[in-house]
Amino acid sequence: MEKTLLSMAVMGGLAALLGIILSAAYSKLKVEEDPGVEEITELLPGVNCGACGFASCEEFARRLAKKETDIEKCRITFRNKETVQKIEEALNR
Amino acid sequence: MIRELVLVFVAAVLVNNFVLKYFLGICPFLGVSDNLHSAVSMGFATTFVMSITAPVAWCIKHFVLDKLGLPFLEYVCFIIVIASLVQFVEMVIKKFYPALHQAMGIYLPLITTNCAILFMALQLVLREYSLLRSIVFGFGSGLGFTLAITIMAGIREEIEFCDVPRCLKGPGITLIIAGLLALIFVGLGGLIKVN
Repeated sequence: MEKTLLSMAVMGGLAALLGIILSAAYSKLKVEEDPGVEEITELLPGVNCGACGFASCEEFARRLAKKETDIEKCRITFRNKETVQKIEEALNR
Repeated sequence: MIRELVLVFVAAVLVNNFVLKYFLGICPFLGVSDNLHSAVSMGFATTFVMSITAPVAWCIKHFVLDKLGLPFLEYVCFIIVIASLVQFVEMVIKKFYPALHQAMGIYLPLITTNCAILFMALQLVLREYSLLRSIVFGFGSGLGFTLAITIMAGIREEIEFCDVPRCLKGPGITLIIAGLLALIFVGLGGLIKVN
């Protein structure tokens, strides 16, 4: 029992420490991105399956914003009419 | 003392090269080695993560886990340290080298799952290295990885202009080159005698 609590404390402490360091680094190193791209990324499934031909959903969103590819390419989203419509709205803004 | 450190270093870079001797970290080794520039950058990103992981892993092992009698937490602790470091490296690269970030693509966050790094952290515990030796070992292993991936990228760039049989184009010839490189590195095995 004691060991369980101890390991929980150790892991929690380590995770919290690393989390604080990372969030501090993030606030310093944040890259300003196109808000449209960010919005599309949130709407995409975010599983980075690669079926669209790009390395990540983020990359796909960036290409979408540049009109270099098509939403239909995403094999997960394209069935979901609602999401597709939302993404199209974001693209046309 | 210095002689020992040099031995650890040479062993990590050449004799026990992680990629070509233990076949660790093959995923980026084959995935990012089609272009010399991104291969070298990948190598240095991995070297950076390794050289920081080594002392941090040593400190966690000796100051926390040993003191509290929790040796079974090694794996998990090392994994989250590596994962956070990779996140940090990704932020830095995205901020200062966006083109490079794009070239490396998914392989950059995948450094997290590069087994060479976890292997390095576990080995330095297993071999009971001192702090100084761990640092040299981590740095050396990273350089060894960089060396292997750079050689591979150089050869693959040249192969582009060669007349490769059609059935061997792409992955086939790449794997054959990897095998030949591993054979060459076996030849370095007699350079020094280490465990």
